[in-house]
Order: sequence, then structure tokens, then C-alpha cells
Amino acid sequence: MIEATNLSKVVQTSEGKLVILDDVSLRLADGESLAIIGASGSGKSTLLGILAGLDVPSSGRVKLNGRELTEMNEEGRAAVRADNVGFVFQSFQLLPGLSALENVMMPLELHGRRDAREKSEYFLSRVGLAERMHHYPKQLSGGEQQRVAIARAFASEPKVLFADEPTGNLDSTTGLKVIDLVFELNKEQGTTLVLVTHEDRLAKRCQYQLELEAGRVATPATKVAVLT
Amino acid sequence: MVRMLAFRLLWRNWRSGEVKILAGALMLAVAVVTAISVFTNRLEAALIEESAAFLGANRIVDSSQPIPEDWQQSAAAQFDVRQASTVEFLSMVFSDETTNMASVKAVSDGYPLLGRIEVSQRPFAVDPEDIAVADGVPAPGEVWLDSRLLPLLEAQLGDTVQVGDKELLATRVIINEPDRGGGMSMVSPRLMMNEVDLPATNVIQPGSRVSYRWLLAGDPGEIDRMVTWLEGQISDHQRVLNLESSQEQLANALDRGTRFLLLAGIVGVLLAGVAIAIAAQHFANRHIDQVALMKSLGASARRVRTLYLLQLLILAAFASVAGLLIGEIIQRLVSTTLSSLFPVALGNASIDAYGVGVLTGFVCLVFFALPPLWHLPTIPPLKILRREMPVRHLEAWAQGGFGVGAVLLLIFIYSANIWITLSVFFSLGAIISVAAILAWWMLRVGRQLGMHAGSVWRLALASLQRSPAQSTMQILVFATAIMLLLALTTIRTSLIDDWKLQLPADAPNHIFMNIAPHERESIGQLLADNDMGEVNFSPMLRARLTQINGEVPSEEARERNGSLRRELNVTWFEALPEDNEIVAGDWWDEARINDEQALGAVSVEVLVARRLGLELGDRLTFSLGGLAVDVVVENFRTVNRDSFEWYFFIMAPGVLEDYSPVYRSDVFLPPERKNVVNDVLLKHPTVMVFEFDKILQQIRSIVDQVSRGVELVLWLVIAGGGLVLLAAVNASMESRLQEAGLLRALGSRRGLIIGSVWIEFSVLGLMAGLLAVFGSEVLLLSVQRWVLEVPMQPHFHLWVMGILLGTLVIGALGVFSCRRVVTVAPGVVLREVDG
Repeated sequence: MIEATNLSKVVQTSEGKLVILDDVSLRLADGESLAIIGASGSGKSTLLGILAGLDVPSSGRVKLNGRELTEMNEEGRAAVRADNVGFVFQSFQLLPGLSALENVMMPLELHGRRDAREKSEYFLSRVGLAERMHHYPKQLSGGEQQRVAIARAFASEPKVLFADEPTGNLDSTTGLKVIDLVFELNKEQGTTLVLVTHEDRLAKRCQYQLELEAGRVATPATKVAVLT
Repeated sequence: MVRMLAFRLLWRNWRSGEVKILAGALMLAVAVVTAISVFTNRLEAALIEESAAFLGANRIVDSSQPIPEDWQQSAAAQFDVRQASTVEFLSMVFSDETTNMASVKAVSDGYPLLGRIEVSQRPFAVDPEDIAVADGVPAPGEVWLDSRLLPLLEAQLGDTVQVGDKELLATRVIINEPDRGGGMSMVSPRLMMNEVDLPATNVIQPGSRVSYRWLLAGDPGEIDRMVTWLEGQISDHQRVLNLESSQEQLANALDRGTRFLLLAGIVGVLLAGVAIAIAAQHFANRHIDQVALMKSLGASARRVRTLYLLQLLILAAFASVAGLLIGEIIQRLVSTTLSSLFPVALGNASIDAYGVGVLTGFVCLVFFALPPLWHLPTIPPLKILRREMPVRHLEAWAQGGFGVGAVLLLIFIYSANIWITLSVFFSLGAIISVAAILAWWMLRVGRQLGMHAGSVWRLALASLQRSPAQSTMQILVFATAIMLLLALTTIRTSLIDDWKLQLPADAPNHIFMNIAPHERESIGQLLADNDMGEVNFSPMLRARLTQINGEVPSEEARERNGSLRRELNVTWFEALPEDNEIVAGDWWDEARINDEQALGAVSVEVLVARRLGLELGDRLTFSLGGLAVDVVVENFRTVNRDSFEWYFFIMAPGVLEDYSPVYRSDVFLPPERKNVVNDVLLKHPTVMVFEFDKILQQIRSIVDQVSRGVELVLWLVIAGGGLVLLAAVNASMESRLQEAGLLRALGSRRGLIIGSVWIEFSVLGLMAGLLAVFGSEVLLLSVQRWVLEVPMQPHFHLWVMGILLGTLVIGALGVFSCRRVVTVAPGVVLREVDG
């Protein structure tokens, strides 16, 4: 369950205050999926960052699986992320020095999982990269790299998966395959999914869509689950 | 668990090449420092051993009274030191044919504690086959004689000679002995006998002038403890001698040698530190994404810090072990290759020497590697989403502070001398600050010039300008390395030249003294007959300084100043001796010499003048054989105390012409001409001869040894410098590859890219070279002035060398390192860099 109430984010620039998010609230139940859409600079990634506990709002509150992120310090939020959250990024964020398998193993190892290798091998097979586990990122295509990133995200069986433009760097066909993969694994694991996208077809696969415009929730919202 | 993860992460980082440069730099630091420290430690130990051979011991208690027996017993009970004793005096020695004065040395078993006695069955032996190392001291009833004494006594080995009431059998010829010392043993030839025969000679009577010596040798710590104990025991008749007090000249040579090795060590440490800081910065830049990712996945800052600290510690441990091994191999190779050249065998290094290497590694790690990595755990997880987010590095001043602290700490660890630490540190600090400003200014000028240049030049200069801070840093690194190399090469050369100048191979090694005016011609002829060429005689008079400005010095002043108590050697010269320097007043010219109205002039050595409180124009009264001579102080001058001939007081010619002087002559006698001494003494028995040949030979061998050590250490440092240059180029290589790949993708010719790389690195090298030349000149002049204490001289050859070295070597290094840019397809380059 994700619950955000009256989120605002204001930053100080040389030209004065800049409002990035303005009074955004939402609630998403376990296993549901939400697409955050909007033009560039509308505050999508900022909202995603705050919901995932990577960033803090200037005002407002966020609860992730019943834990109040906004009352925690960075260490506390890190602990919540470790237990609950997975990520898929637009630029894949694979570590160039590690093989595909090692990239997937890394979060599991960080959390002290003894079955890191087996689990990683399983998820790499699931994303169709069983034969390429020992390849390095630079030896993989963009689509393959994103599949490694997806395997990495699902391998730690997160309760919530945050995806930031997961198809942004991929061509249309590859993007489609990646979308299929994300939703397939999401369904299997019953993961709550929050993604930021430009792509209509990806947004439409989500149960809910939230459109932002200049930091505010645009109206009317389409197929909104619980929006206030 | 965390340790295993750290191991795994480190292994992956290693495999991907990310920590290789850091590990390499760390390893290099430990290796260079270990090699230098172990080698210098061994060299120093050898030098100390060699120089201890001058004394025949580590310390000597010299006494005009017998050494109390209870001292020897309590020393044996309390301290772990070896002991021996000698008794030295002048005595007439009788043979069947004639008599001659000899310097007798009665020695105990165990003498010498250090060094060795070389003996032969042939007088004046020079052939190594004829010379053997004595395996003890003369047996009771036997004597060993100086080569010169046999012909003087008209005796041969196997004959008996009589010392006092005791007849002794001459069994061996002494070719060389430690503790030749000074004073009377230099004037008369040696006779060495066993201590147990001494009472039977009945030579020593109350009032006899005898030098009792108690020789001590052992571990430095133990010796120091014992000296402390001794200081509470000794009376005015006794003094403790060490190398400094007994051999000032040799102590100076050793001191300069170790100071140089120290400087070299510090340079090695600095280069290593620079390499580590560059590599760590590079490593940190490459790990920003990794840390952001780890944190987004829930790793806490503490976890990240622990993981990186552990990785660093593991890396440091491996690098230290590898560095120690490499350092050990280098120093072994170096010393083995050159062992045949060393006059004495190098001993084992102390464990501390290796400790310095390991300690250096860890200090470098903590102070140079940690600060650039310090911010990693604080990288916000949001960085993973917002790539443009700035990363808050540890403040530059704080990083600088750590670097400064490390340099200070390391120099101090290495030199154990706060003054050397501070002087080296502050001069380097000042030079680097000025250099940074100059580098930044040169880059600005370069950009303005580049705007008017062709495309290759514009590209190259734009590349330098793209990140002025980074370019400035690189110029500084290159400049520092080149500067240190130039400075070291030059210091080494001037140091060795300086020594060689002081100790030329044909430096006088015998001084004939007490020559009467009428003996000059005959002695001159004798020497000329033995191919000695023209011989100079300088006049000498014994005089006593009795009054200053008409006043008799007080008892207290006499107590304070030896020159008021004893007879002084005074001379006269028309010209200022070559190695003297006037510091106040003027040397006399012909008009002054011939000025019959004025008082005669005297030139006074500056330190003596200061002690006596003299000023220019003061009137001094000397007593020469009961007659008083008044002179006026005309100038103060320095003397070269490393030479054998120097005077506190020099008169202008004419002042002493009514007094009959004796003369001295300094002569170089090669070993095969040594017999000339006997010819002179037989014909002129009142002449005294001081023999310095053996001491000079020993000093020269030590100087040779130090020079070789200095050369080797320099090569190690140069190797370190070269590797630092490579590390710096490597650190900036990624962005260069990316840029060149992009240019090629856009259709630039290979020639244009290679040309621009040549120009960019050459210009960088040129700027670095210019700065290096400036810096090394400042450094050298300060070192000459304050550390080595030799006259300051500019080094014009450095200007050419520094600039050429910078431009060509760094240009070539740049092209060599960037060659992949034009040999690998641009797509591959770009993709690799992006990935």
C-alpha cells in the first residue's frame, strides 16, 4: 500500500522558488499498478523519487507499506527500501564492470541473501538471458540490458516496483517485449507497480493513470483509482 | 558476511580494472619506499660499520689515566657490550743496530672491536696477495711494526726489538689498522704489542704522556644506555669519543650522504602520494553510480562506508605485501648487481626499514585514498534518478588538508627530524602554490593564442581548456614529477662533484712540518727526485695571542677560548687561500703590504673572531718566542675545515720577516713512494711527518659507496616518477577516448586526432616543463643554501632539459596512451565508454 498526502516539492534556485510538485495526493493498494504520465518537467520523476523514499517532499506525507517515510531519516528510508522496493531505470544502471549475473546478484548480496546466485540465475533465465549470464553490459544490446535490470529488480522480490521510463531508451518492438516482461513478473509476484512513462501503450497497461502538469495533478484524471 | 561481500566486490572491481591503478599506485608507494628505506638502511648500517672501523669501536673512552677496573667490571655486568682496551705512548725503540722513536700501541685481546688490522710479511706491501687480515693481536712476546719502522730500525721481521726493558720479536708488518686516530700516532711509526707485555717494559712512569683507550661496541641502544651511565662516571681526564667527535670530516661526508638519501626518500613518498590521490579520485568518480544504485536498493550509508573501507583495507593489505616483495626484490637486485663494487658488504636491514614501507602504504591509503572516496557513502540515492544532481565531494580544503597532513606525517616518519620535515614541506608547498597560479595563467594565455590557430591547434588547446581545474592539476602533477627528477639529478651530481672536489685523488696525504729554512732546498730536492714535482713550503710560526687592544684577556676569557690559552700556528700569505672566503673587511693588496706607516695586518677566521669578540680594526698582540708583535685586524674570513691546511690567523707578508719561521709542506705520496718519508726523516730527524694517506683512502672509499647508493636511489625514484605520470594520463583517458571517438565518428581524420593529441600533451608538457624548471631552480637553490650548505649556483642546463623532457616525454606518453583512439573503431570506443 502506498499512500501520499498533499505532497509538495519546492526548490530554491537563483531565480527564486521553483515549485516542482504542488499538493499531490494518491493511494495505491497492494498489487495495483499506477502510471504517472505528463510532459517533460511536469514532476513525474520527482514524484516517483519521493514515493520510493529516494527523495523527501518539502511538505506532505508518504506511507509505504504502513511505514511513514516522511518521518524517517535516510538510514530509515534505506531500510524500508531494502525490504520493500525494486527499481527499473530508463538508462538501465547496470554496473559496467560486473557480468549480467553479478549485476543481478548485487542487491541480493547486499541484503545478505545466501541464495543470491541461484535466484539470480533463475530470474535471468526467466527474462530469456540464460545463455548470456556471463556477458558484460557492453556486450549486450539495449533490450538485453533492460532485461537484466528487470531480472535484478524482481530477483529481490520487492513489494513495490518503481520503474522510471523503462522503455525510454528502447525501440518500439524491444520496448513492447520489455513491457510484457514487467507485467508478467508483476502479476506473478503480486507486486505493486508504479511507473513513469511517456508511452501511452505502457500507461494503458496500468490499472491507474495519474497525469501531472507543472507539478499539479491534471484534471480530469483518467481511470483514476483513488485520487483526491 | 560483509567481509565476504567486500572481498567479492573488490575482486569484481579488480577484474574490471577499476582498482588496478589504485592498487598499482599503492603497491608502487610501498615498493619504492621499501626499496629506498631498506637499501638506505643497509647502506647506512654498512657506512656506520665502515666508519666505526675508524674508531675500531662504536665509542671510545679516551683517558690520560688508566681506565678504572671497576668500570670495566660493572659495564660487563650491566650492559651487553664488547670491550677492549689500548694504551698508546711515544717511546724510543731499540734494535741491534739503532734506535728510533715509535708510537707504541699495547692492545688487549679482542682489539679491534670493529674494523680489522691488515698485516703482511713485506714492508710497504700494496699487492692484495701480500696483505692478510690479522686474526687477533700480537701474541705476548711479539710486536707488529709499521712498514716505515723496519728500515728506520735497520731491522727485519724475525729480529728482536726492545721496548723499554722488554725484548720482543718482530713478526709482522702492519699495513693498515683502524683507529689510526690523530695526534702523535701520525708523527711516529707504529709499533703494536700485546697489553700483557706492557708492565715488563717499565716504560710508563708517573707523569708519562699516555693515552688510555677503552673501546666499546654493541647495539646502538645498548651503547647509548652505556654512554648515559658513563657520563655520570667520567672525570675531566676522560672523554667519550664517537665518530663525530673524532672524525669531523668523515662525519660531514656521512651526514650529507644520509641527508641526500632522505631527500630521495621523501620524493619517493610524494610521488606515491600523488599517484594514489589521482587513482583514488578516478576510482571515486567511477563509483558514484554504483553507490547511488546500492543506496537506492536499500544499502545504508554505514553499509556502503563499511563495504568500501573493507575493500580498501583488503586492497592495502595485498598491495603492501606485494609492494614489500617488489621493494625487496628491487633492493636485492640493486645491491646484488653492485655488490662487487661496494667496498664493504651490505648487512641485513632492520625490520623497521620494512615497517616504514608498510606504514607508508597505510598512511597513503588513509590520507590520500580515503578523502576522495569519503563522499561516496553520502551520495544521495536520488542520484540514480537525477543524473545531473551534483555530488558533494569532501571540501577541497579538507582533501587538501589531508594531503598536507599526510605529506607532513610521512616526511616526519621518514626523516625523524622536525626541521627537515618543515623546511622540505614549506618550500614544496610554496612552490606548488605559485606553480598552480602560473599554470592557470598559462592555460588562459594558451586559450587566447589557440583562438587564432589552425584547427588541430584549436582542438588541442580547447581540450586543455575544457576543464581548466583538471588541466591545472595535471600540469602540476607533471611539473612536480619533472621538478623533483631535475632537482634530484642535479643535487646528486653537485653533491658528488662537491665531494670529489674536496677529495681529489691526488689530494695531499702527507704533511711535513717543522722544516727549518735551510732544510727546504734539500727536502725539495728529495721530493723532486721522487717525481713529486715542485714542492711548496708555507711558513709557520708558533705564537701566543697575549693582548687584545692593549689589554690582557681576563682569566675567564682565557678559560672560554682555547686560542687564548695555547700556542697557535700563524702564517703569512700574499694571496687569500683558494678555499677561504672574506666575510668582512678586505684582503690586503700590495699598497697595504708595503705601507710602512701602518701596523701589520692580520686576517682572522670568522668563528674565532666572534668567540673572541673581535671587530675590524682591533689591535692584537702576539708573543713570538718572547717578542711582541702588534697587528691590526684587517678582515674576517671563513676556512675550509675539511681541508688539512687552515689557519685561524694569517698575517700580511712582511709582518713576521724578522722572526725565523719553520715551514710545512703538503705532499701527495702514492703508496709506492711511501719510502720517501723515511728518506726525509733519516736526513732531517727534526722534521715531523703527519700521515693522512690511510684516512684519506678510507674516506674516499666511503664517499664512493655513498655516491653509488645515491645513484641507485635516484633511479628508483625516477621509476616512481614515470609510473605516476602514467597513472595521471590513465585517469584522464576515458574522457579523451570518448571525445576522440566522437570526432572520428564525425569524420575527423586520424592525423588530425593524433596531431591534436600530440599538441595537447606536448603543450601540457611544455607548461609543466616550464614550471618544473622554475620550481627545481628554487628548490635547488634552497637546498644548496640550507641543506647541503654549499654556495648557490643557477643551473642553466635544467632549462633546456626540463622543457625538452616535459614536451617530448609527455607528448609521446600521451600519444602512446591514446593510441587506441585511432586504432579501435570509433563505435567500439564510444560504446565501451558509455557502457
